Amino acid sequence: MRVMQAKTKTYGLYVHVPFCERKCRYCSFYSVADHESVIDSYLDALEIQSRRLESKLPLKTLYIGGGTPSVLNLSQWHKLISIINKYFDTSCLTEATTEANPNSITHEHISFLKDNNISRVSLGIQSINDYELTVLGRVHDKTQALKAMELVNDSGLNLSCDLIFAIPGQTLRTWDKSLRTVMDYASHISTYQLTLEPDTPLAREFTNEELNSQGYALYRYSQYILPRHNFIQYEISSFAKENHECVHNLSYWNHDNIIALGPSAVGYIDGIRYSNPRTLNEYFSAAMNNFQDESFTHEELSPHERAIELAILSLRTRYGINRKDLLPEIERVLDSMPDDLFIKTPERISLSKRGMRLGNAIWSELIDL
Amino acid sequence: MTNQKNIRNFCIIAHIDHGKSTLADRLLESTGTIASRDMKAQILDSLALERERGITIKLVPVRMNYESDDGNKYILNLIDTPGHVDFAYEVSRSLAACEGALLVVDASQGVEAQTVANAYQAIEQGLEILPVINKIDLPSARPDNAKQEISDVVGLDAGDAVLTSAKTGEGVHEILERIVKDIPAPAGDPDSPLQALIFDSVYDNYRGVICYVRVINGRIRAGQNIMFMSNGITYPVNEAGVFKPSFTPVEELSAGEVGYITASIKTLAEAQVGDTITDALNPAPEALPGYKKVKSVVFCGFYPVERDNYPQLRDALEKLCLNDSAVTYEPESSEALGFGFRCGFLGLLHMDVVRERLREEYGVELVATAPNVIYEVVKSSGEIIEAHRPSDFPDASEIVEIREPYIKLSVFMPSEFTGRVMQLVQDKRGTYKSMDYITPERVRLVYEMPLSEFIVDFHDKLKSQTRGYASLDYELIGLRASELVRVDILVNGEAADAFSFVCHKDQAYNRGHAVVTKLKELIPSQLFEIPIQASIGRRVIVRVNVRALRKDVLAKCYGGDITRKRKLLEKQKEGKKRMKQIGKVSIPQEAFLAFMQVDSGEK
Repeated sequence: MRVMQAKTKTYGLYVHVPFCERKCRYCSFYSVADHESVIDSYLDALEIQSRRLESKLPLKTLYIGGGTPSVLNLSQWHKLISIINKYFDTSCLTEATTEANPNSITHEHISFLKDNNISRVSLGIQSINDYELTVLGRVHDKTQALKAMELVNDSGLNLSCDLIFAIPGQTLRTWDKSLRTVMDYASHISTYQLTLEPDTPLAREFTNEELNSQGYALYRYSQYILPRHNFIQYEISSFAKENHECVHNLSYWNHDNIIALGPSAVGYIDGIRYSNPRTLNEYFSAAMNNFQDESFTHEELSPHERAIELAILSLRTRYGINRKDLLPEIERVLDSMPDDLFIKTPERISLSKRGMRLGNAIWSELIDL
Repeated sequence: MTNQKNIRNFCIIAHIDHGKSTLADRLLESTGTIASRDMKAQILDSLALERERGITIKLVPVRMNYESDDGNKYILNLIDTPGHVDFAYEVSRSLAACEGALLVVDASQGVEAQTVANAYQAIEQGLEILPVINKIDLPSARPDNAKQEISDVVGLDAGDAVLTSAKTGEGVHEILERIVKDIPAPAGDPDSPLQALIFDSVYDNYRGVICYVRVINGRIRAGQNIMFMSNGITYPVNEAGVFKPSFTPVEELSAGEVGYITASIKTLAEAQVGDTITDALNPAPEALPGYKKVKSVVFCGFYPVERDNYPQLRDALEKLCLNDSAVTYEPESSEALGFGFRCGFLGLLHMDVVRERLREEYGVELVATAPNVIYEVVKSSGEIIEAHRPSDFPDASEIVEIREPYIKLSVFMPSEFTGRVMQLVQDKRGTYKSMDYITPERVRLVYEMPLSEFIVDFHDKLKSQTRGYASLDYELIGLRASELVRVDILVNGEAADAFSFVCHKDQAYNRGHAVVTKLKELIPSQLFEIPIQASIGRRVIVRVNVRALRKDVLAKCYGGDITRKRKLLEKQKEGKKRMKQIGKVSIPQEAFLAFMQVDSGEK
């Protein structure tokens, strides 16, 4: 039995950098391609939002995502890091990640990150196959991907790679190749099934049903091959070598507090989820008004809804959920489902490999109990 | 006061599109009953459905004044016969109100199946038959062949048939002359006790039931107390009148005349077709022969398209039944469609007519389930029960015999299609009775077959097999024992009543296979494998499995994804709520709908 730790209140910080060189053909995240002049204004607005927060909140994790944070130039990076250091307490930071694109990351960048306490780089590799990268509309190619991974490795930073499966034209062989290649560099791999979001270019060419049928075999294969190379599946889409799980991401699934900076970013503080103004323009006008409460969209879940959501989120991870924390109705539903979906111990319930493949179907049974 | 000798009561017997309505219009026009400027095309077709399909189910009766070539003045009453087998009983009542019939045959199509059946009925009732060859203006017209067919098939001498074109008006005058000359005046005694035959009745919102009557004996006038002989109910007559064709009151209707009466009668059930009206104070010793209560033979479920509209459907059905006493209905509920009614009809066309009327006249949008018949089950206890749906059937061990309604079917068609039609009828469990050549090119096939096979899709199949050249007629010939079985469908081991069905034992495997295969397509994969079985009693005859779900779309789930994800799941759950749970299995509504072969009326 674990000793309950006295809960010193720490936070995760998520910073959304909404700029990309070019929009990928599958992406529905908020980002703008035409940015040079606005990045500085963006950083100013970010500072205004940070200033408005209670000062020096202690951070446990930091995650700079996007968009493409690596499109910021060094002086902009400087500004960003100084904002964080100025307004937050980073002394107990255990993990600091930044996302980067293989084509825009440079040696200088990496040195800078390393000098500024960034511990982890998440590269949007997506695939090691040039054809697949073209289908996705990515700006980099295989050579750049390999070079970027080498750069990060050489620097000693932890490397996480994102890979996408169920790309039109992808085969088990090319998927295997992508997986094996990144395994040689990374200590953390996230695998995402290509999900067509409405109004993206790719969604006009394919349907999710077409891709989903293809996804089964590829996902199953990742569940097979990655653990054989010591990547443990600790969440539906996340595999990591021992002690390399992404602590920041785990906070989402534990309902831990996350502060969100930047347009469209979503935070979660004491049971209340809030979204920042969605577009850059909205974000700028909110900044001009010093980020009043009306600038944010709040969502407060009832304790019951929160319990259900927490059960669903916890079940995403290999740690599952403690039976003690389960509402009796949730436990009843889980117990009525086929046993092969779960790993059950007297204390905990977590998903089996098959359960992880069928998460959606399981959660839809729980959603409005 | 009309001279009985100068009355002619007649009807027109014709196949659906052989020009009955047009001919009737011409008759009205040439007798000046309706000025041509008032004619809208086919004035006597009353239902929108009739005009839409270009078919006439029943014309409104009409009284025409005609001065013949020899200078005598006549009253001609045209009483229509419904041109469809569903209304065979009404046909016989209409015929009973006439002394003669025009037998209209299309000069290029020749005699069709229903024409023969109706002509036989007319002959049986002693009517004088006047053959008329219509549409002689068409380039394809072969009037001599048509005449030959009348004499070969119907067995009537058609040598002196009138050649006419209702379209151009040619021959119409001759028809009128022949009606006067060949059709006998009505017999009957105006001074005997009243006997008036109700050959039709309609419901009017303001006047209640309007009875269309043919006075056989005696007289009827406003103020008189009358009695319906089948039920003994009495009413004072409000009004007696004739059809000009609008309702026109007269002082009196006497023996031989055709007209209507109103008497503030509330429902059609009180004044049914075939009943005899007599004088309440001086009743006739007996009713006119032939009255019978009509019985529904085809059934289907009517459901509102929007579930909330159930009360609207109920009110509409109530009102509709005021003027169509042949419709029966009782509430039922369905897993897929909610609350609705099981309705009984005289036949398929009647069913369509009712559905159309509900839509047109009452604005009710409805979903109709596939039609079925009533079975009679003899139990080992000796008890006989009527089974409307598979769930009415007792356990197989208690069944001694199952009986189902049979029909005698006649199909007329070009001889080249004989083989295909025989195959089709045999597939539908038909038993061969006879085959003869009407002409060297045309064949009549007679089969006996179960009504249940007929009502499903027989007509459509026949049409497609014969490129529309076949015509058919049928009559009910009663119940017969059949080797029927109830096939149950088990989903994950649990009986799913909505999918069970009754069929002949030889078809059980094929149909069971079709149903489970269809369900396999329609039931989405779930967290576990789902066996779907078809069984007769305990014996499983088909089994398929719905494979367990293998993988869902698994998206990433951080920060903002969480809310989005939850909303997505909630939406999916909404969709799931519309599914019906059978045991642990969720079955989508489409599965029920597909199985019911429902159609919402868009044809």
